Amino acid sequence: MVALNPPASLSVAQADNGGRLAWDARLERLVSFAFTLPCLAVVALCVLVPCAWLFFLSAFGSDGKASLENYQRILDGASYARIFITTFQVGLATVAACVLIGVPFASFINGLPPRRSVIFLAAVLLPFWTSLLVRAYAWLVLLQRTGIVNSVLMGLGITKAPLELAFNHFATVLGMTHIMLPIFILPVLGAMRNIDSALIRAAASMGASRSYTYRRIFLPLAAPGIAAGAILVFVMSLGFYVTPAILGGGNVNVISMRIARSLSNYSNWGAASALGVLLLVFTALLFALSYGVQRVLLSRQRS
Amino acid sequence: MRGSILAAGILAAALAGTASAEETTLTLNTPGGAVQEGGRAVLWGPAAKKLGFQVKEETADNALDVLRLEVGSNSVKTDIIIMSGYQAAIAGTEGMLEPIDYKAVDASGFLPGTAAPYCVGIYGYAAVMAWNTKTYAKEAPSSWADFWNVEKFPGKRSMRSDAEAQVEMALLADGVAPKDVYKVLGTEDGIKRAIAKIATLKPNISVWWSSGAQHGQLMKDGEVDMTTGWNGRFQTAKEAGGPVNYTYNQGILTYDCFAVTKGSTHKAEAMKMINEMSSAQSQAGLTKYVSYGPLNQGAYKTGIISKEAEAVLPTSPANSGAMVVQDIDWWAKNNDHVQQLFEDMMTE
Repeated sequence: MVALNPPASLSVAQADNGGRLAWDARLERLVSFAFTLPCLAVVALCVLVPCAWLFFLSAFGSDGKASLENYQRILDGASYARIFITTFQVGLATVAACVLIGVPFASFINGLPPRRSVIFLAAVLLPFWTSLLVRAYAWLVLLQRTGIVNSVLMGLGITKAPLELAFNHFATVLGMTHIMLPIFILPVLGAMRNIDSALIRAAASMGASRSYTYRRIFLPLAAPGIAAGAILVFVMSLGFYVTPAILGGGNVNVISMRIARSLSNYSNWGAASALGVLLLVFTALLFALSYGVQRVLLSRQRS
Repeated sequence: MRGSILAAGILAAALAGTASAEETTLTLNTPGGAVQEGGRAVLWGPAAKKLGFQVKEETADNALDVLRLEVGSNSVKTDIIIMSGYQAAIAGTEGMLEPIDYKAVDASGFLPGTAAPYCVGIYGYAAVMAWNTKTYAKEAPSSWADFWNVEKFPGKRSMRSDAEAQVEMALLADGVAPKDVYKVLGTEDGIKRAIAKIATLKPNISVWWSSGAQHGQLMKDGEVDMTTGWNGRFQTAKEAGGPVNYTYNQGILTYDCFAVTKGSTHKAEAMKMINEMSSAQSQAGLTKYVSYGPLNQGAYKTGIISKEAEAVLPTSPANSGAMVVQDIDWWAKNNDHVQQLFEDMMTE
């Protein structure tokens, strides 16, 4: 049990038993490391091994010989660059929509008394429990040419011809934003809840207006949470398949769809793996970049 | 003691050996569903009974994967496999199938092009044009040229998000004679011509469909006014009273087929089975289970298929004459290249 003493006890360590405490601390680190082993094993088995396998497969051509033809094809084909650009565009648009809708909404929930905030939080989380597929088709029912929105607009005489709402970038981003909002709002709300309300009161007591306090005190303090939510949404958006496939109607071609086509149509594991590897690399790069941005934000807050 | 167990084992093995020599068991891989049910009732069920074989059924979603696994690992257990003609052409060139012995299999009554070097057709279906009967109430489109004619037939179009059958349609629309389609596609210029033709229609294509269920739905909901797609879906929509009609004129006929796995230990028996299953009688019987057309043209003379059923089957003499039988060998050779060009056009 001694070994499990919290490290905080080290700060009151006596000089004479310092060595023993250091040993304890090392033992404790070892024990807690041992506790993470099952988890690490699962991660290694389910993440690292398949990733390594992906890298491995991508380096083989269709004739089974080692070659870079899968990457060469991506460089040569005009469609691949466009597919990557579309994927990132759709991801960025989804992040923008989530920030525009999510930040005001999270601020609103944060300002409510706990009991009422639960109701609004439930409203955010409820759609989270419905299937991705159902939600995509629900949007289709609303947006398609003969859908509810167009019927109402035309019935009221607002538009003469049906608007093209479905099967485009707009519908795709709308559907993805709907799915991503809870994932964005939760970390943002978490960050907002952690803001010391004394700071807000202090600003108000010094004569800052509500909007000034919100802009200069509240938002900067919530910024790391917003950044974390945005990164999460962006990275998840890059791998979306069902929503762009249904709501994009073939007019929005993202990487995941191309990967699926490589696999199901031509059983071409190498080509699909190469796309997977590239997506992984791009995502990792962006993740590193945004992690840096977040660090800067946090350090600025501390200073 | 030990010796006697060993002896018993050898004896058992010997007995098993003689048993299997007397009663051949063929392993047959099917895509499942109605094809498996109907096939058991009218194809391999009766054929096995007649020849004195046993049939062990297996199912798989992707026949190519089964072959790659079994042939690749040198542990062939599937004797006969059902796959699309296109997949069979690929598997054949990759050396995963036995060539069909047409001395043992009588395919003389088949539609030309549906009994291939590595597989014998079972049933055919067609990629056709369908339209909304309300949008085009006065005059219905009747050819691919009409599909491309957005001035005479204004409205939203849908095509497949895959080049398969779409490039043939594009060339037919561009004035290529049905018999010359694959001659034109045999050159790089011909392929580019087909893709360019689809590109001209692109502004009017609001949806690129990816499944049969999807194009059926698009037509039923009136989301698009004209689409390419499979005959079975449109027939169903039409029978359900939807504002949908379709034509077999200039349709692209393709088929699923029986193939024999390379290295099958029952090669000769498999050929015999396929011969039985390809008879006019067997193929006609299958129409009771699936809405696909028999390829053995004799099936229409057996009296099993009613006149009403014949009228809507893609392979009937009246319908198939107006169609182009898909050249699966051309697809097996050119698929990757054509799909790449198609995708470049689609994402532009």
